[in-house]
Amino acid sequence: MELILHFRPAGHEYAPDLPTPSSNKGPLSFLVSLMVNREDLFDEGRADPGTLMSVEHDLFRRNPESTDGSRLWTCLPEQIRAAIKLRADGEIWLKIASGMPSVDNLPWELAGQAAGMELGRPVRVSRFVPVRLPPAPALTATLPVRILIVVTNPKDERLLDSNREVYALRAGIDSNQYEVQVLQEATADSAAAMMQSFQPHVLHYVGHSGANRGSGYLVLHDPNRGTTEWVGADDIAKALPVSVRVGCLSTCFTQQNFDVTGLALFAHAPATVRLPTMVINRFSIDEKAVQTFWRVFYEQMITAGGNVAAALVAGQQATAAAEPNSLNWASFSLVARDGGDQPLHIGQQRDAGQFASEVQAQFASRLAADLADKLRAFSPSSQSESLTRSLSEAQQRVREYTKRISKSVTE
Amino acid sequence: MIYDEFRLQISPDLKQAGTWSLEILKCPIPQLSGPQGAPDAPFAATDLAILRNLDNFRGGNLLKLKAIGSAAFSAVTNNAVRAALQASIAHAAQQQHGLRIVFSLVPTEQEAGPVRLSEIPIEALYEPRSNFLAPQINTPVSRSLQAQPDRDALALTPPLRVLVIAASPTGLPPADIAQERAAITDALANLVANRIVELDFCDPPTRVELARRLTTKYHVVHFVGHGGVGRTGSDPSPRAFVFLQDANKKPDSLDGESLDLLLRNNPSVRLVVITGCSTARLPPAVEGVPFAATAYDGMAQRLLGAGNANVSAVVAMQFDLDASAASAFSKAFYSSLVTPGTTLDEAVTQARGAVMSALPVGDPAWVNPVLYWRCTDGKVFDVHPIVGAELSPDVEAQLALLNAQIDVYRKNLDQMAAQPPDIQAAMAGLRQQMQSDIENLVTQSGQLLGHAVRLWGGRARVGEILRCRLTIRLRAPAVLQSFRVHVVHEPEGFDWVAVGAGSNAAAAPLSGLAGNVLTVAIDDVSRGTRWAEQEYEIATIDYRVKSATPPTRTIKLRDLNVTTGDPTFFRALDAIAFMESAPQ
Repeated sequence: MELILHFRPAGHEYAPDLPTPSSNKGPLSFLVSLMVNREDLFDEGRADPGTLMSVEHDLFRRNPESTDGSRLWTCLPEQIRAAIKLRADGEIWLKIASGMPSVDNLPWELAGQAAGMELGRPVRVSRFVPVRLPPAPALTATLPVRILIVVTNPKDERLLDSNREVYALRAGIDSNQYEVQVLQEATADSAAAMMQSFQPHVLHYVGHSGANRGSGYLVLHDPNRGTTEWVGADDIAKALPVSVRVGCLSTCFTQQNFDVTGLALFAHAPATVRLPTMVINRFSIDEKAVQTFWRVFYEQMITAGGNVAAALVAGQQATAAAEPNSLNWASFSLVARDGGDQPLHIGQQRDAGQFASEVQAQFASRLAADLADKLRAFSPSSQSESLTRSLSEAQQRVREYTKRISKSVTE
Repeated sequence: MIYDEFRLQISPDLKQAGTWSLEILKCPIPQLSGPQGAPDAPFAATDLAILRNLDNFRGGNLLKLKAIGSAAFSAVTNNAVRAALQASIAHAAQQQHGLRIVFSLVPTEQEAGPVRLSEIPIEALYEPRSNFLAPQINTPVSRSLQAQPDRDALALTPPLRVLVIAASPTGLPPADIAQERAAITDALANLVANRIVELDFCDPPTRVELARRLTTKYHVVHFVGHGGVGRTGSDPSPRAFVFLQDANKKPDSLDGESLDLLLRNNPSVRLVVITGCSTARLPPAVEGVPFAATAYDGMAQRLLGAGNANVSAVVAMQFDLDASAASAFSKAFYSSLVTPGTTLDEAVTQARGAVMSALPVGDPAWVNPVLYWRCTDGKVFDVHPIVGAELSPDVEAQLALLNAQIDVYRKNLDQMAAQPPDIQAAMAGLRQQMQSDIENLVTQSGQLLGHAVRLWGGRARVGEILRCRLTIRLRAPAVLQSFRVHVVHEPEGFDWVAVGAGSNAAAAPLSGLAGNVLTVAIDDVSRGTRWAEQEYEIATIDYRVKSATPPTRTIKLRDLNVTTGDPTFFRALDAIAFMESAPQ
C-alpha cells in the first residue's frame, strides 16, 4: 500500500530543551498529512520540531545511527502513526514529500525500519517530488539497456581512485543485459555530447558533490583547467535526452565526498527541473556496499521490468545482508520524480510507432505540466479560459498517445 | 504635474581661483535671478565617506542622513540662494505647480574643496522647513552639464523600446541579475502586452552582442550589474566603466568613452539607465596624485558630454546600490516613464519614493540615483496617448496570458529541438501540433487588439524560403493612405530575399534593407476606396532560412505608421517562424 507523508511548514516553535537558534525564533515545525493511494487525505498533525531539529543537528557531526530512525518515527504525530498502523496488513510504502531540505535530508529510510519493527510488517521508504500532473507512461527500453557512467576527478579536489570506483560499480553489471559506456573526467559539454550520441537509459554519476544555498551540484571538470566546475540540476536537466529515465548518483568511496548532501539536494530539485527518477547516496558508504547494492539493483531492474522501487528494495536488502552491522543500506535512497517508480518498461521489442507515441507522450506530458504551472501562477479567472483550454488539449494528447502505446503493445 | 524651474549654476569663480560661484539662471520670480556669491562651506570628505559606506546605515540612520543633507545644502547654496529657493517653492505652490530644482554644474580639472563638485550628494539636500527635497514630487532635484536645456523630447509612437544589458560575470560578487530582470519584466508586463513598451534583453551580455543589438532601434539602454572606476586592461588611465561579459563569462569592462562611441552610431538611444554599483563615481586619485580629469570622465557625465549628439539623459548611481533598492527603483521608474504627461525628473522622483518605501527610514538608498539631463520641457520622450490605443484591463490580462502560453510552447519546442535526431524525427507530429497551437494563440492575440498589422510566420527547413505574409486587419471600414514599417529579422537565422505584392495590393511595396532592418512602404494602400472590416494581405516578404537553432524565431515589426482619414491606432503582431534542419 502506498502512503504519502506530506510535510509542510507550520511556523517556528519554541523548544525548551534545545539551544535557542540565532534567529531567536525556535525551530521550524511541520504539519504532516497522510494520503492513502493518492486519494484519501487523513487529517494533519504537527511533527515534533525539537526532535527533527536535533536529528538534523546530529547529522552534521556523524553518519546516521539506528536510533535516529526511531526518533524520526516517533516524532510523527500520533494520529498519523495510528492511521499507518491501521493499514499495516501488508507491505507498506511510505513516500516522503516535502520540498524542504530540512525534511528531505533526514534518514527516513531508517524511520521505515523502526516503523517496520513496531508494526511487524516491512515498511519501505522512498522520496517523492510531486509533479503537477500524472507523468507520461514509461518509455520502453529494449535489451541491452544503456548505462552511461560519468566519473569525475578534478585535480583541485580530493583525488579519487577512479579505476577502483568504476570497477566496483561495473563489475556487477551484467554485460548481456546492459551496454555500458564510461566517460572519465567529464565536463558539462563532454557529458552532454556523450548523452546525445549514446542516448543512455540510465545516467550514473560517480564523484564528489557540493551544496550551496539549498541546491545540490555535481562536481564536473572545467574544460580548460581540469579543475572543479559545479554544475546544478537545471543545467544537467537541460542536457538530458528523453531516453534518460533513471539517474543514479553515487558518492565516491575512495575519498571522502566534498559534501555528500549535495547529491540529495540535487535529486530533490524542484519539480519544474526536469530530472528523471533518481537513486542516490545520502551519506558515505564503503566499497562493499557499492559493489553489493549496484549489482543487485541493476540485476533486479531487469527482472522487475524497469521498476526501480523494487530494484532499490532488493539492493538495500542485499546490502544489509552483506553488512549486517552497518547502516550502509540506508544510504541508498529513491527519489521518485518524473516517471515515478517505473520510469522504464524493459521489453523485448519496440516498433517505430510505439516509440513515436512514447516520446510524444513524454513531451506532451511536459507541456501539460508547464501549462498547469502557468495556470496556477495566474489566479483562475474569465481571462484564463484560453490557458485552461490549452491545458485540457495537452492532457488529451497525453491520453491519446498513451492509448496508442497500449494498442501498439497489445497488437 | 506642471513644474516651474529653479536652475542654479555652480561654476569656478573666475576672480578667485579654488572657489565656487553660484548663479541663479532661472527662477519663477525673475528678479531673484543673477549671481549669488559663493557657497557657505565646502563638503567634507569624511561626510562623503560616511554616506558611501552602507554599514553606517544598516537599519537606517535618519539623524546622520539629515546631517549629511544639511552639509550638502551648505556646500551648494548660501543664505541668498536658500531664500530664493524657499520663495520659489512658495510661489510655485501658490500656482499649484511643482518646482523643478536643477543644478547646472560646470566642473574644472582643478576643483575647489576636498570633494569634487559632482561627488557632492546634491540629492540628499535637507533643511528643516522643507525636509529632504529630492524625494518630494513637488521638488524634484536633478543635475545638468549645460546652462540651458537643449534637447527636445523625442516624439514617440509606441512602443518605447528598451534594451536591458544584465551582466554578472564570474569572478565578481554575484549581482542579483535575475531579481532585477524579473522586476523590470514585471513592471512592464502590462505595457509590453499592450505594445506600449517593447523589452529586450541583451543575451549574452557581451560587447559583440551589444553592438549588434544597437544596430536596431532602441530608445532606452539599461545596464544592470557591476560598474566601477579604475584602470581597464593595460591602459593606465583610470576611468568609469560597467562590466559586460566576454565569451567565457569573464568580466569585460566597457568604459564610458567606448559606450559613448557605440551610442553615437545609434542615434535612437535617448536615455541610458545604469543600475550598477558606483557607475556615477569619478576616477579616484591614482597613487596619491589626483587624477587630472574633468567630470565628463564619470560614466554618466561622459555620455552627456559635449559632442555627444544623441543621448538626452542618463540616470546612474553615485555609490553602491543594494539589489532590492535597484529592483524597487526600476519598477517604479519605468511605470512612471511611460505614463503620458510624466516628466523625466518626476519619474525619477517617483522611483526615489519607491526605494524610500522599500527600505528602513534613514536608509540613504533613495539618494543614490542621479539624473543628468539636457531635455527641454522636462521630457526625454513625448509619449502621446493615441486614440484607440487603450485596452481594458480584461483585455490586457488576456493578452498577458496568451503571451505566457506562447512562451511555454516555445520553451518546450526548444527542449524538443535539443533531443537527438531520431527522437526529433519521432516527435514530428507533436511538434507540428504545437506549432499550430502557437499560431492559433497569436491569432487569438490579434483578435483582441482592434486594428492590427500582422506579419505571419510559417515553417521552413534550412536552405528553404520562408514566406511571411504582411496583413492589415480592420475592425471598422477605413480608407488606408500610407503604410510604413520596419521589419527586423535575426541575421543568424535568416537572409532577406525579396518583397512581393500581397494579394490585396496593386504592386510590390517600396522596400530597402539596412543591416537586418527592412523598410516597407506603401502609399495609397486602399487606392482611395474604403476597405471593409476584414483582413487584407498587402505584401509578402521572403527570407532564406540559415539555421534551425533555436527552432523558433521572432521577426519583429517596428515603427509601424499607418495613416487613415481619421486618427486610428494600429497595433503590430510579430511573426513567429518555425525552422527545421535540412533533411539528411
